[in-house]
Amino acid sequence: MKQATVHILITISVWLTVRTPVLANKFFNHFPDSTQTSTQSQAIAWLDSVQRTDSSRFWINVPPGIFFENLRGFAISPLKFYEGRTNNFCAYSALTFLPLKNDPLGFCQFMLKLYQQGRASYNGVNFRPGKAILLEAGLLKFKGVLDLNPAAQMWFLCLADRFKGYLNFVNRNFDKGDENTLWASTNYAKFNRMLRKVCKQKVRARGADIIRPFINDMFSYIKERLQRGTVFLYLNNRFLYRKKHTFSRFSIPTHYIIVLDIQKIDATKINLVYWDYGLKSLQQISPKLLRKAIFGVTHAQNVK
Amino acid sequence: MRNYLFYSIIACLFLAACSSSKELSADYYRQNEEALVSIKDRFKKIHRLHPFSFEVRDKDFSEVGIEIITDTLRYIYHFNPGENNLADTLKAHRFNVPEMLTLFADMKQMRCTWITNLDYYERGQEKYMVFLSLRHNKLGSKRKEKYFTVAFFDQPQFYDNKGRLLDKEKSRNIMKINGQVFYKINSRACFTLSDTFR
Repeated sequence: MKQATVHILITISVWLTVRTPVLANKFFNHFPDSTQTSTQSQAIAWLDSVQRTDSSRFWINVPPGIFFENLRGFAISPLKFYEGRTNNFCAYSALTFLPLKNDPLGFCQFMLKLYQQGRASYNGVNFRPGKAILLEAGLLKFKGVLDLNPAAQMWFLCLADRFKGYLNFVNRNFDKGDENTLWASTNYAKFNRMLRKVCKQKVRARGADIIRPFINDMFSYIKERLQRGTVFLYLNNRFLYRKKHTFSRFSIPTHYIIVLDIQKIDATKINLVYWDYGLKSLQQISPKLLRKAIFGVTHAQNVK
Repeated sequence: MRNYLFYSIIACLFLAACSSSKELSADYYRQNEEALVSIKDRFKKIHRLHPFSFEVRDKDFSEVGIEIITDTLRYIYHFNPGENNLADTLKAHRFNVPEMLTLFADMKQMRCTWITNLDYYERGQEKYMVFLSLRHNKLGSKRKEKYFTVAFFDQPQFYDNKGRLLDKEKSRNIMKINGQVFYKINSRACFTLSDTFR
């Protein structure tokens, strides 16, 4: 009898553990976000109170006035954060969505320390950029509005310098123009590693660099995860933004986006709302195209 | 005699392959200047009220796409051949539908694959150019660069002695648009040949 009670209790506890997310979702509509550590208003108040510094002796091409303006932009309009044109910064930009959303104050404080001291740590990750990086930030040109955002240039270059994946083995050290080359590129494992380390969140990833993930119903999979956190897609950019009219049988992923919403219109149409290039976009695609385009689905849960 | 013929053919093929793409394109622009400038002007006029970009997504010029940029969202629509909802979409976004359809028809006639308003920055100031790509028939299918791209500026631009677009006056820095070097057509327009249309 005692054993039977224990069995029943274990069964109930297991059922509750499994069902808790579903129940929580049902009653609270979404999961409480325990990753939010500061707010936009706190970041703005801190930026207003902070003493403006002189030019940095480390980042000699980043004027302090523009730098502070950029930090204010990070706090006020995080969705305008722009990765730039014709470079390989999309992974770093997608990743920055989380610090800007969850911890704008901490991120701005980190950026100021990096500016003043030439080195700083964020969530325990140390950034010690080399001389080439220090010199280059502020000089990137013809990248769209990134030209006017030396603070974002600093951050992108630091991330690319700090984290390496197998794609970076052929070109490990920065030379002028390397923001457009394999030096800055990000394979899927590197992206997930960066996300775990920099954002300190529970990250679940499905997919790989060449093989698509085995997910039967991609729409439902993304939709369900979206309710419990942030979803990043690693996909072949050609399906979102066609640049050529030639057809290639060999498809590889080249771009990272953040899914903001996904809705099924009918059996053949899905509305995908995503964020990239500093804009929220809505694109109507077919379930087949969605499956074909996606090589990786990363889910950063709203819990640390 | 046979050898002579063989070398002559090789030389002709080599010359044909090396025929200046630049001249080809500059000529192409001059021949079609009126139509291209008209497309650019009408695009700018509509864009002022309703920011948008237009693309042709296939070689047959039947599958088209439009990006409509509002304050909150960028809508990206694709229309497959046989679908007649382009006009409905334009109407829903309060475009002047006949004006837009005429513009698209003219663009298709000119084999224009992409038109957009592109931002660039000069001495910290935001400026815009009209960026227009054409699938150039004369380039043929064997060449890597299939697209003839024209950038239209509002202000006169600066070029070096090789006709390459510079970022400012008396500068040595060559300005790149979408990673490409552009060459002078006239003071406010320049072109490049590219393997991508956007």
